[in-house]
Amino acid sequence: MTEYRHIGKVRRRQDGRAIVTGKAVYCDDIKFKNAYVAKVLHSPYPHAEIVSIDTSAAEALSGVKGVMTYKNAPAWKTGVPAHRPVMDQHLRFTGDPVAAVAAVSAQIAEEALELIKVEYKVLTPVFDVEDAIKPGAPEVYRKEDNIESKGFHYENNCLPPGSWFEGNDPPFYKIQEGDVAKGFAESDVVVEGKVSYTWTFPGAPESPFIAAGWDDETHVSVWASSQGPNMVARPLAATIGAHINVTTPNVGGSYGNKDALGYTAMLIVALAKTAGCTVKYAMTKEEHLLVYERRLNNKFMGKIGITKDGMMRALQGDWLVGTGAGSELTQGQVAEGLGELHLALNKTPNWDITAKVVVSNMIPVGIARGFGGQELKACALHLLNRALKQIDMDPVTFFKKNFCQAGDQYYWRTGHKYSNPVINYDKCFDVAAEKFGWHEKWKGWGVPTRMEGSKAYGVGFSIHSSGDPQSDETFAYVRLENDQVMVHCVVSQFGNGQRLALAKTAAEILNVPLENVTLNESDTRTDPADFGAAGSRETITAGGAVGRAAMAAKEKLLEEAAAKLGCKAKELDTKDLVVFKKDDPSVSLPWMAICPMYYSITGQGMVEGDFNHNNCVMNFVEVEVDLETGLAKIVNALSGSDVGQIISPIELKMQFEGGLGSAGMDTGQLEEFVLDTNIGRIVTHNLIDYKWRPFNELPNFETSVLESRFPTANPFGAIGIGEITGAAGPAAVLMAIENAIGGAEINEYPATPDKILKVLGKA
Amino acid sequence: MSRDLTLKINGQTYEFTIGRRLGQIPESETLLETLRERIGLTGSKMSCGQGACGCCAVLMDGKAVASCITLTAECEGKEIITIEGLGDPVTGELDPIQEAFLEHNAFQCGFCTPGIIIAVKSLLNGNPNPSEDEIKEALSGNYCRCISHYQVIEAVKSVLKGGKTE
Ligand code: FES
Ligand code: FES
Repeated sequence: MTEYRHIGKVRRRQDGRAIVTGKAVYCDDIKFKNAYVAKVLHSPYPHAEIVSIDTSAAEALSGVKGVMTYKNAPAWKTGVPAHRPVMDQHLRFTGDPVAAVAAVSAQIAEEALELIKVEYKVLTPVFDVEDAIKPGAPEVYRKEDNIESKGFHYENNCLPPGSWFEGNDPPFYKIQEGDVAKGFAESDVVVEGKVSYTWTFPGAPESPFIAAGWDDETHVSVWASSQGPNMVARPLAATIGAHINVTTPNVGGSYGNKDALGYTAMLIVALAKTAGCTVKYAMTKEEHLLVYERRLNNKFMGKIGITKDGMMRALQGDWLVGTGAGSELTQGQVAEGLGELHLALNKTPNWDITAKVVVSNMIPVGIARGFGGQELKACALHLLNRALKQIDMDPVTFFKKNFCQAGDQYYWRTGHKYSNPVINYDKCFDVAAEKFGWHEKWKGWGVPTRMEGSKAYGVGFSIHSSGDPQSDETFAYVRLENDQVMVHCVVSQFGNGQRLALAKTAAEILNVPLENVTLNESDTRTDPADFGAAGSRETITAGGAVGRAAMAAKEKLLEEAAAKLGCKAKELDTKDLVVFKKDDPSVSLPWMAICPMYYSITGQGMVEGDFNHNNCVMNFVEVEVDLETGLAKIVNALSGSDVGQIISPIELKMQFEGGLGSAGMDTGQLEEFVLDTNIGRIVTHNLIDYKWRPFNELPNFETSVLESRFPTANPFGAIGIGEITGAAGPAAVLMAIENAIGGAEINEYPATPDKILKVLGKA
Repeated sequence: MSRDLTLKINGQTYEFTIGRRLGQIPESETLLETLRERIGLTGSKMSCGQGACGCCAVLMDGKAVASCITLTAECEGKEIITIEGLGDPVTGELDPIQEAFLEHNAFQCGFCTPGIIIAVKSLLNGNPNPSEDEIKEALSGNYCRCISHYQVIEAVKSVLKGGKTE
């Protein structure tokens, strides 16, 4: 294996010193000139109509610059397909914005909110996905809202399914192939059931932030706490018919969840327009929990057939996807979720699974890591356990047989099939299982690994794979000026270590110390287009584009040096900012002589996206369940993958560990929103009541990482895994819990003490 | 009625008056607001606003407090150190804890990091040789959603080994 100078080596993050000294700048640390503070009045009811609203006293309050309600808000809509207006007379969830105020200070804005008089007509809400699709259920959107897309009509609270961003492809929301009736007939074991996965809070410590100001009629400047600035800029620009420039300083955590910020950005850009000023909106943590985009909830009702030797024969089911009062990209999650199930159970010949995207009077759904597949697989694969129990086959053995291998085809988000000819994760199963001690710990279905007093231990396993790691076009350029390498790519700092990886990539290719590389701040004004961080894609896409841009810059540098040295470029190489002749290094030129003071050499790089590179993460867990209290804890976890080539070892390890939190693995036993159905409001709307993992509750955590050098567009053969490190976690945790407690079945996530005691007959 | 308030922050003295007039500090203002909005020390972060996450922690007389639930008006005479004031103001040398966090890349998004470093400083001020369990217990009020916990613990243990913290 090639020895690299930077790649695979431990390097300090370039922004590390700023982070540990408190100097790193996050959105709310910026002083925006002449900016007014935005505050929002939220609906107190889950479903209501505004009978009357009087904002005159608020408008008259000194220091108030503008008040926006449904009466004066621009007629824009966000979501897929466009459905959620800036503001509406019809209020669809507890927290739905009723009015927004821009004022000179937060205090005055809050005072103004209190002066707004609203008379509401309370309507009957609907929360549960199954209730919402019944005929006669309360209508979250109505005929007059005119939601229609590509021939699909909104009815019975079902939004048009499928993703809409794939050109002329029909929406992808179902897999129907083969003959499931025949598949079930050929099966030795057929199981049926319903499993539901709860709604959760990805939970970035920094609450969502948007500041916006209109530079002129057609240009808007936006500052966003976003992992994907172009996801903020492009869809909204298309909606409102103006050009949007987005700057993203440091982002205080995202986990996929602070990406497009679609509705929030639209609301604040609208307020900036109606109030005629720059406004900044820093959500409070309570708002973040109460009204901001959360992870989808879902139910899977299905039927699975397998043979005695552990081969999938048929899968049939309805996937009810709860998107609350709105969908930012839920249809994309449906498409990718189906693809992820298809990757995991790839050897299934007969499929009939259909998704419904269901609206209700709950908080709208946004983007979150795991993106559909985590949620669907948590349910469908849990149902599968019932079948594996009957044939007495352990899940590692089963998935190794049924998981997508090199050359197999899998569905991805367009509804077409893709395939990678090379990447195989077979070896990963064995190496990771060995390191975890799976075969010693696995005692059979419903059999605890061991008992210690009232504590029962059990193990579980699951797997996740995504077709996104090389998705979508990506552009970058690299400038060489004097002794500096300047990298332009629109990659935000939100914790995944990607900016370090990109700096290393440029430094490696140009063979310079890391200190000579500067990454431009993530800004759509100065960085070329890219869809942004999502689906673990930047390792390949941004890495590939930056790598190619660095190579192109290097070529030009060598050509210009060759002209000066009177030789051919191919006779030259560069190291530590000096170009030299390969066969006679004494013939050399420093970069300063090639690109002196005011001279610039620019290389461009591009990666064309495809879906033919699937990544994979396996989660092994051991849980401890206190049979007296019902409390389940993860005590051991191991995450395994083959990442092609390690770029940054510590950051990679931390990405795996990060799969525990941010509504990942811990949604198996710990995390959930609790809804008070009487008032339609969640009661876990602060960081005391919403449960999260603290420092004194850490499981032993290990990783098992192979490096196979995959033929990806990453210059070093790497593939990204960051998004999916916890995605298979909840299924593994619930499996482990059932094994620990002797096989009693739990079909609702998370397995909190009340549910465990109930199935044990103790509550 | 207004009264004077003297704050000592990172070794500097700040004179304010408490009151309702423009420029005065209202009784209801939190220390976090004063630090971030009046003094421009934005290293302490606002997250939960309820004393539950530790992102806003500062040292008050050597002990970590949640500045989001501390009223500035009650800080008269207290010695306050924020993340910006941990290093040596003259040489710019970092505190050994900061150095260890850098050495171990003990952060991801970094939003929780100032608060965690302050909590570690507070712990070591009172207990220069904590066990791993004591470290975890001392940080149990710090929310880190990225799960940087494992590297943080490594970083703190390395400070103890180095024996650099008094
Ligand atoms: S912001 Fe102060 S403890 Fe959370
Ligand atoms: S590093 Fe992101 S929350 Fe701790």
